[in-house]
Amino acid sequence: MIATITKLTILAILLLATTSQASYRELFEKEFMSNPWGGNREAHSACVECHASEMMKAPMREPVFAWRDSWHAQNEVSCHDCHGGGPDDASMSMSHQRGFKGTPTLQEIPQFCGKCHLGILQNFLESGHGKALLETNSGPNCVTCHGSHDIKPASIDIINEQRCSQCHLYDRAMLMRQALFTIEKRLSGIQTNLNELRESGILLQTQRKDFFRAHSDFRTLFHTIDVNLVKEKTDEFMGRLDRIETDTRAAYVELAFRKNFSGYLLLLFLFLAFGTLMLIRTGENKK
Amino acid sequence: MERRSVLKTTIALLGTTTLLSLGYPVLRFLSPTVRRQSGEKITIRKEEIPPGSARELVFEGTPILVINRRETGFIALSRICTHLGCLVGYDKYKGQLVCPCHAGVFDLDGQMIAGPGSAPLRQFFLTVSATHVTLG
Amino acid sequence: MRDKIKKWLEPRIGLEEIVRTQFREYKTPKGANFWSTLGFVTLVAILIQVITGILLMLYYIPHPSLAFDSVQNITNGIPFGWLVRLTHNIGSNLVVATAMLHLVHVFFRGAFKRPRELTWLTGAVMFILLLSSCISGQLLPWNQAGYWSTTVISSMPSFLPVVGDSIAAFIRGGDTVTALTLGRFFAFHVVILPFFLLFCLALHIFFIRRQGLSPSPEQVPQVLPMAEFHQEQHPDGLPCFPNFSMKRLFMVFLYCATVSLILTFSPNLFMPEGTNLLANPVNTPGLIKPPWYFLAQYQMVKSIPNEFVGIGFQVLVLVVFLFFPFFDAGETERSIKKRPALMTTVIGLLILWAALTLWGMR
Repeated sequence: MIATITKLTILAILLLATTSQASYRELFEKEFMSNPWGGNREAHSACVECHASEMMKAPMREPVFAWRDSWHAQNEVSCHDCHGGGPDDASMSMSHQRGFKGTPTLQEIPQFCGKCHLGILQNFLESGHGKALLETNSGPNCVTCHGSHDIKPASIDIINEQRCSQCHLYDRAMLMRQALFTIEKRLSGIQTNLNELRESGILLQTQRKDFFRAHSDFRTLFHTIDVNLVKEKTDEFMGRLDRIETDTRAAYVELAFRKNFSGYLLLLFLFLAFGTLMLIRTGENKK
Repeated sequence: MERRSVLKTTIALLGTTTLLSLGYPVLRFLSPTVRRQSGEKITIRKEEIPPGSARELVFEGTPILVINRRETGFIALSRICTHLGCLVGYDKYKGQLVCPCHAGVFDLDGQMIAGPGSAPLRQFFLTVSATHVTLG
Repeated sequence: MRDKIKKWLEPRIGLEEIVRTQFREYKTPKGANFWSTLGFVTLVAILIQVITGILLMLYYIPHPSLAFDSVQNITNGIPFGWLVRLTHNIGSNLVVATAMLHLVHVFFRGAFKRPRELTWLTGAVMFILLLSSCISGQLLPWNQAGYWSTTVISSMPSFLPVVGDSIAAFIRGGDTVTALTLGRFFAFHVVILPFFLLFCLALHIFFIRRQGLSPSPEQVPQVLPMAEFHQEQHPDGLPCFPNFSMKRLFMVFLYCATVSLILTFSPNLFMPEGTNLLANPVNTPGLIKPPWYFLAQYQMVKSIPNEFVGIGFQVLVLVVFLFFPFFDAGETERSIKKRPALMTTVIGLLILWAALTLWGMR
């Protein structure tokens, strides 16, 4: 009798324990596992699934292949980030309720890209290029220089004769290119240094952020297409880059110190090894 | 025999040097880092920041925003966006902080609510008195 | 001063007798050369890993949001943190190399044969534990390289028909590599595996001391038919201290010099491309490569179309490796030079391993 009651009690306790475990597990999964590092994150895009498939006509498949090699794709910016719609479900993928917008018109393009690139949109609309676009419904827009789906990181080579002489003489663009040149060269130099230092294990997170900020501010400034403004601000930017370069130089000094210290340890150990070997040899010769 | 004793002494010396050369780094590795207070203090009168508005300043080399939130009071947040480092701006109409580079949006507690990245904005310690707010 | 301490210890532990019997009169077999010190060098290498590991543990935080930054802080923020971290990283690769050299030497010397089967078994188990430590350790910095390498390795057990997926999920603590995996691997790397390693090591050293060091195949060419326990004495060998101890010391210095050499001229030799990038579960890198000691196995699995055959073959090799003394129990010949079939097979396997590893590096 008592034995049965004990067994039933133990069973009841275990059952309670397992059921409370079950609810704990749900809570745990909801709180713990839904974070970015919780896993279960899959890049799933209904847009890509349809547009990359064989049943699409070639022009409709083009954007996907162009996008795949782009800077956007590398930074996890995909179709719905610009065009709206719901990427997780094919039925909602082009839904206007989810904010879907197909191909933007020429004048809609700046706002389309400016959904994310807010700062640049501002400067562009106030610039000669922006005003030309709005007044004449032709003229340069984001796609003219950066492409639409095969977007690559911007560089000074976007300003070239072929592109910039479509509407006016190239000499205007050349003046801008010259104004940008010094800073651009320095930016690419510092970028190389930062990458090199990262390969060597020194990440310099704060300096990277400062660098991106300077680099971004400079590019945003360019979109005003105001050569005088760029020349005016050059000194300020040089100062900002000076500060970053002080830190990168210090990092190289640190790397040199590490090499020297390790070399010193190497020499110590080599001499110790050699000395021990000599001790062994002289001991054996004695015998 | 003499050669052996010279060798032995040399090895003993080198060995001691090696131990010290390894011991010193380990000692410095283990020593707690002394956090030197920069001593910088910024005091602002509360009236200078009316409710719903914010003030941009630089504290300890970092650009920050001191916001007077309507419901929850003062907060000091770093303006450096946790995505790639651009400076966020205060949108007083929407009560949000917006980054102009990739449209990252933060609420007035510094938590990210939209955009790339995920880490919240760094918060700075703020002392609030009856008439002033003090940083540092 | 030294004499005073000795005199104090003598009536308490009988120090003089210990030094005499365990060091000076303890003889090493005739023909004990520098290769024979490799076991000791492996032990010192493991000790270096333990010490640097403990130092790292003081500043490392095993959570995905903080792990990467804490390792960055150790490498660049803490004074001489780079020395500790890089020594641990370089050492983790060199300890595997040293262990491999040791076991190849023991094999070619026939030192695994009766009565030393258990010594080989404990050693083989230690080798597997060592490799497991390497696998669990590489996830801890939570970088792209470690994250994806772990994803690949932890999905290997899934090749097994019924239990495969459960085993893989058990290792990972889930279906993918997550924060739970990190916590699990941290516990394994820091406590569980070292505990078992220490246990096997104690047994390994006990067997060696109890049975006596194995004589060379020139001295004892045939396995003796033994019905009773017999401890090898090596009366015509040299005393362990100072002769063999000096050889051991030399090899230890050489090992430390090798670590320092890599530290000076190529500190990032064992840090593949994704080492300094935060782990990103959504972004698979183009090339996921395991560390060099797994390249051969990885290459084999990649080149054989049938996954079951590829991994199954390796499991077979592993089982034969673990229990080889028992498979080989019938043969009484100790010298490998007199066993051309075995010699060819083993050298063939080693060449295959080297070729696959080099192929995998390209």
